[in-house]
Amino acid sequence: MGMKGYYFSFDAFLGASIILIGVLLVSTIYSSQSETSQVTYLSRDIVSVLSELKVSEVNNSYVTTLIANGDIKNPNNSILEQIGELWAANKTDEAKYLALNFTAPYTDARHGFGIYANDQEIFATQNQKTSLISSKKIVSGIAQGKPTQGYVTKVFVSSIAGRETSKFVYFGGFEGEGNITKAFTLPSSLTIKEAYLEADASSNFTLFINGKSQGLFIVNSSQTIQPDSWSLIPSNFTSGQNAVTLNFTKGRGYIAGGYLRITYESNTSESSITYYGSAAGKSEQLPGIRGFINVYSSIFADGNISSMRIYLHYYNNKSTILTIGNITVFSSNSSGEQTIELQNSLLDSKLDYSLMSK
Amino acid sequence: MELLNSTKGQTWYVDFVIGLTIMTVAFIIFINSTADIIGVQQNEFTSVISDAGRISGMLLTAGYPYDWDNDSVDLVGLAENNRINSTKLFRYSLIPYDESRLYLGTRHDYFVFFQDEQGSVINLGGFCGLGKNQSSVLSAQYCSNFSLSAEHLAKEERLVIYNSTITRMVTYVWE
Repeated sequence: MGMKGYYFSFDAFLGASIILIGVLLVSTIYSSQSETSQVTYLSRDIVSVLSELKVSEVNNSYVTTLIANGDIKNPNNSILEQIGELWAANKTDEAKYLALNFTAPYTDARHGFGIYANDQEIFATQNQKTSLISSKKIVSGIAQGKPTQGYVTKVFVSSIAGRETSKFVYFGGFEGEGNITKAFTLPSSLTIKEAYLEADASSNFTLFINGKSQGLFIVNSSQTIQPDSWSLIPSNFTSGQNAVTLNFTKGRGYIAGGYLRITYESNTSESSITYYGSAAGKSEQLPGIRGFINVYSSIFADGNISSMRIYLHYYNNKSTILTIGNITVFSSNSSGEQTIELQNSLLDSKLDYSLMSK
Repeated sequence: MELLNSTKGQTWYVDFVIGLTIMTVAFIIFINSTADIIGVQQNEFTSVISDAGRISGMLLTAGYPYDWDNDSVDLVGLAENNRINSTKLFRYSLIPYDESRLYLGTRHDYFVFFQDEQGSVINLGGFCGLGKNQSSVLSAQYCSNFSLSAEHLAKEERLVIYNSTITRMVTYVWE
């Protein structure tokens, strides 16, 4: 009977052990999750703040020393980029102490901490690892032992010799009625390859290029809206201002559509568009007409029109009317020579630029 | 015959079975009751811990709308890339506490403050921190003698950039 007591003591011991183990297991499971979470945040935050904080904004004596020694050349680097640059320059001690300067106050003895580049340790504390959390950030443009800075060669085209292009001068929808002069500009230093005229002219005409007669041009087509075409002598055109005049042989002539094309090679570019910062300006020249002024043409804006200005110079003994998009923007019964400027304030009040844009 | 009449071995066996049964029952009762207690506490405390993580995480976003003010705010956020926006911090300080709990989506009490690298609580332009019983500055530079105590207190620390300095943002949440 005396042995029974031993068995009960053993049972109690066994039971107590089981309970103790159970409690330990429960408490271990219960507390470990929170700890891992905090380490995760710490890992992420360190990477995040080191990659966000700029060298130029910190007030740190070690950074000041590195700048003074010429180890930090770009103050716009983030701390993480700078650690990477120092590592790439084989200045591993500087990289290590820079990292320590910004992380040591925020990592306590419970947590170890390390920074690695390409799996190579820049620095790491020697704590025993019970759980390991890693956060990564890509730092581009560095490799150990290789230069982090260099030169980029930019090539600008300063000459466009051999570039072949064409200048087009259009004869509206209808231009007349009388002798017509079209003025236009060609770039400097050019070699004209070809000159070509295509027009639906009302009758035969004598063509003048820069005042020099090119002879009589015969209109073969008897049908309307059927253009004729002619090759012109390229050498009669020149760089800079040019003028082409059509003197009709029969009454008040007109051209019901057509164009003059001059193909040339040049080392400069010619553009009718002038740029003003983000805006651009373009001029459209009205034809010179000696006769009864009757022009029906178009303008084109490859963008949003913000302002317009019109300059008219004419001699007329009849009423003069200018309409744009079926809206009369100018009307005058004045005779004789007139010089008229229509400012944007007037045009903007009469026209809807948004309907004319693009 | 004497050997056959001996009951010593049987008694020991019965003792062992009874003892094991008692201990098993006791263990089961213990585990059940402990699990219930821990379960209730864990549910409550898990919720507190979860809120601490969520609040600190939310404060490290830009908030919504992005340029929120006290009239337009839907979600309170103070930072971008862990950099605290002082304007948003100031706006946040003007939100009444109970209202701020709604924007942060918590029913628990909370308090947020910032510590420098020495662990001193930083003066946020008139406040030691933001949240329950928003504390006013206790000294010119730092909020000295500053402490919190509560049952079921969860703490979350995040590293942020405040005034171009790496700073701890500490969030306490409690029941």
